[in-house]
Formats: sequence, structure tokens, C-alpha cells
Amino acid sequence: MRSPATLTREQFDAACRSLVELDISGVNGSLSYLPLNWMWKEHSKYSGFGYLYRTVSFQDRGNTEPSSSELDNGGVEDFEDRATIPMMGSSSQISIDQYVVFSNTFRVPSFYFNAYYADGTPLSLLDLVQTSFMRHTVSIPNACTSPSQSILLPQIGEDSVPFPLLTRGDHPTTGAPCWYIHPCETSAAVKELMDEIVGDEWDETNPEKGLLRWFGLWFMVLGSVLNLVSLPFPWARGL
Amino acid sequence: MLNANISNSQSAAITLFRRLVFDGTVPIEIKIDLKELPANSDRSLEYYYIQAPRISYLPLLLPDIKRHLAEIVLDDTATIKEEDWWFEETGVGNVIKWHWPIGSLYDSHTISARVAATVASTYLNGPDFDPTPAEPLRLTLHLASPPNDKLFTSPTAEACKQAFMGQIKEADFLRWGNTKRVTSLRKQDQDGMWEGLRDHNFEEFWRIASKVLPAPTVHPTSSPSHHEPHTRSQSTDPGSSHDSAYTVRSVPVRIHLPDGPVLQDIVQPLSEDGRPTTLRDLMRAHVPLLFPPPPSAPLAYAIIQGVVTPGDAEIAWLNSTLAGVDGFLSIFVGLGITN
Repeated sequence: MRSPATLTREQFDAACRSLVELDISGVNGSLSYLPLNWMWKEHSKYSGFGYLYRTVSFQDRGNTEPSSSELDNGGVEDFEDRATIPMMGSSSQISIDQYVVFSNTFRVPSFYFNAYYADGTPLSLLDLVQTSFMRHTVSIPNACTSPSQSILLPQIGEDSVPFPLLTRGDHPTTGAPCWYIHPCETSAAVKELMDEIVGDEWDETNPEKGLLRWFGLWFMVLGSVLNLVSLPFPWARGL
Repeated sequence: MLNANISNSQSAAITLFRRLVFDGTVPIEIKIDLKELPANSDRSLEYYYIQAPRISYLPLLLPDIKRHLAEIVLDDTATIKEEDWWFEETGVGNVIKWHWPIGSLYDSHTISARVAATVASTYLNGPDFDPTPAEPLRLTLHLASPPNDKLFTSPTAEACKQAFMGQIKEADFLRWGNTKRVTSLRKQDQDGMWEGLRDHNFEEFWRIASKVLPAPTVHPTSSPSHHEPHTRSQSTDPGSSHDSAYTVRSVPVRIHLPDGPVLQDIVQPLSEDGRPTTLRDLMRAHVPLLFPPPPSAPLAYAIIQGVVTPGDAEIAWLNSTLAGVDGFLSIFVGLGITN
């Protein structure tokens, strides 16, 4: 039997439970890339709306790659000069509240987050795309200087990134406004990988060939766009 | 414009309901937060009332509110910055979302208010029980310091248009598994849908919307597994007039629970035995504690577009006629026993 392209709510809940309970010492290579330290949270009154949550904090030194000409600092080309110029957001403490929720429309996990400075101020879209949380340099079109709700993240090489759109939305359970990566292309990407790796041997409860593996591949694909490593590199981007 | 499989009287009924939704309005009362009024303001104008279109969005009403309330109350020296405005439900404290259609804001308020009243009275019904009281939605307008952790959009028409188009595409995806019907519309038609809504032009809106929102053409032999109407084989071309509300893979429905999150699940238009799924079937399946199986009576009721809707109504038909113009049938569950 082959892997499903989408998940049911029950499968999502089971995969999340496995992830929360995962004993990292017993995990071998294929699952060791799973981001960890998640908590399972439920809606205060209604069951069936659970999601994963964690907060990650890091010291961010901002964009270490040459900036695009659209950025405010005048497009400095030389890497060494760049590293000595104090930038907005350089060396700041940033916290990111991260959520994995179930998308009812697309029947796949969906990644929501909010990013804050140490004083609680939320990061603007412009600041956000310059942090090391984003894997690749994103140039923001000039239209973005007014409050903008979504941007297309850049694609890697020839294979298109399956979730290119970063946009604003309400958290499906808490209703709070968050950033999220649009999940519309996810199922095709994960299914393709699962078919290559697991083939006909889909077995839902087997960690290597079932839901946990599916989840792991989902995180891996997401990880090509966002830096989800539990102890994030403070300044390495595109590595 | 509707499929020839519908009789003229059915087609007239569909248009009638769509028109009622399009032209539906709700009463809103607005007052400016007194604490934010500068010293020279005219405080004699306390409340401003609007009969607002259900299908519209609050940001689209701001020019009207500015002209008839803010500019009158505030004196000429005050600078008015609508981008910092935000609304709160008076006396309740919840921040009003810009990207929700006004009808949804109103119906959500109705069911939450009912919960409060039910809890206060400890009765689920009573001599004065009115499931849909026609009282205004009371809002307090704040002029500054919008709470950015509770609001993600600024009050612009552009943000609402994006939210609206996003919902149309999601609904399209739910129905067919792809968004080809919407994305294959020319840009000028996609914009035309929004403009029809914004300018309150029913004909213009539905001229385009009928290409993506299917009519409830009835196919007695249709089942979810094969999509062939009894008269002709269904084309897989997007936008084909063979699309029917009864042959979608999932009807775009959202169930709003009182003070709760929004429930959304796969909803098949027809059950296994080919019978159209009814509102009663849906509520019993998803909110079983409030809609228990017979012979128990339901402890709650379903409001669609402000109206308590009978359990026999077919979900596919409802989505085709009483859905919001964004393609989703929004059902608001209120606590109480209606007769």
C-alpha cells in the first residue's frame, strides 16, 4: 500500500502525539532531522482542534549575504564591509512562536508562526525576511513598504518550493493572527517523496514507513524554506 | 445562464435567494470611545447607525463612518488617521476582525449573546426566547493604537479583497480538488467579482460568480463516486455548465460554534445511498451533543444569513443559494430550543 497524499484529522493527531512522545535517544538517522520540543495543545472548550506548539529564541545577526538593492542600507556589495555595518535588527534577541496546525481545506499540516523582539514588538515583514529564520534572501518589492499581507518566497534551483507563499491568517484554533506558509502544494511534494522512499510499504504505525515518516518529510520540505533546527544557527543562511 | 436541467421556477427560486443574501443588511451602532476624543470634540452626536450590507466588509464602510461621524464629532484641528482605527464590541471587549464579512460578524455576535443570555437565565428557552433578535451590533470605534496581536490586517479595501479572493479559491479547492475554475478566470473577471461586491452590483457579481459557484442542478442518479448526470456525461473542463452543487467532492461549509473555533470538515453533498445531505444530517454528525439522534429534540439551532434554517434543507442547495458571496456556507450554532 502506498502513502496517502493527505491526512485525516485522526492521522494528524496521531502523528503529533508520536512526535511529542518521541524519545530522541532511540531515534536513528532517518528521523533524527525532526524538529523537537513540541507541546500538544487543545482548544480550551472543544476537542478536535489540537495543534503542536513550541517557542524558539535565538540571537540573530541578520542577513549575512549581500543585500539586494531594494533594502534600505543602499546595497552594499562587499561582504566584509557589510559585516561591520550595524544593521536594523542586527544582533537582536528574537523569539518565534511556532505552531503546526491541521488544514481542514487541504488536509495536511500547516505551519503558523509569530516572531517578536525581546521587548515583545512583533517583527515586520521586512525584518522577518532578513532574519536567519528564512533560509534564502528575499527581496521585497517596493510596494511592500506599506503593510503587506503576503510574499512569495523564492524557489530553490529548478525544483519549485512547494509552499512558496508566506501570508497572514488567523490561527484555526486560537483565532490569533499569525504568519503562515500556505499549504496548498504540500500534499503533492510529500507524497512524491514518500513514494520514492517508502514505495509500497506504507504502514501507518511504523515510525520509518508511516505517519511519523510522513510528518518528518513534511518538516524537511518546510525546512528548505524556514530554519527549523531546534538550536538555530545564529547567522548562517542558505547553508 | 443556469443549466437547462433546472426548471424555470427552480431557477427563479435560486436567483431569489441569492438576491436576498446579496441585498441583506444588518443594523450596526457605532460610537467613538469617549476617552479618545480630544477636548474640542462635539459630544452631542453620540451614536451613528448604519444598515450595513451582510456581504460587505467594515473597511469598505470607513469612508461613510468618517464623513458622517468622525468628521462631525472631531473638530478641524484633529488629524484623522483611519489606518489606526479599530473596532471593539461595546461592553464585550472582543476586537472586531476586518477580514470577516459583516454578516458573519453579526451572526457570530447573535450566537455569543445567546450563550450569555442562556447562561444567565439557566433556561434553554422561555416565553421571551427569540433566536434572532433584531438588535444592532454595538461597536466602539477606537481612533488609535490598534492591537496588532489581535488584528493582522490594516483596514484597507485591498486587504479585504485579498481575503475575499483567498476564500473563493479555498472554496473552489474544496469543491473540485483544484482551483482551476477561479484561476482560469481572466484578471478582469476576478477583479470584476470584487467590484460587483464592492459596488453592490448583483448582476455584475453573479455574471462572473456563476462560472465558479455551481448551481444546484439536480441529478437523481448522481453519487459522489461517479460524476455523470443522467442526460449527458460530465465534462472535466473547469467552468463547464455541467458543474453541479451536487457533484462536488466536498461542500464548502463552516460551522461556527458559540465562543468557539470554526469547524470545517469534508461534507459530501450526497450520502452513500444517494440522498442529498441535509442540514440536520450535518449537525447531528458534527455537533452531536447539541443535535442528538431522534427521538431527542435538538438543544441548539442553526443560523444561516441571520435566519434559523430548517433541518430538512439540503446542504448542497444551501451552499448554492445562501452561502456568503465568498463561496462558504457559514452556519452559526446558537444555544436554545426553538419551536
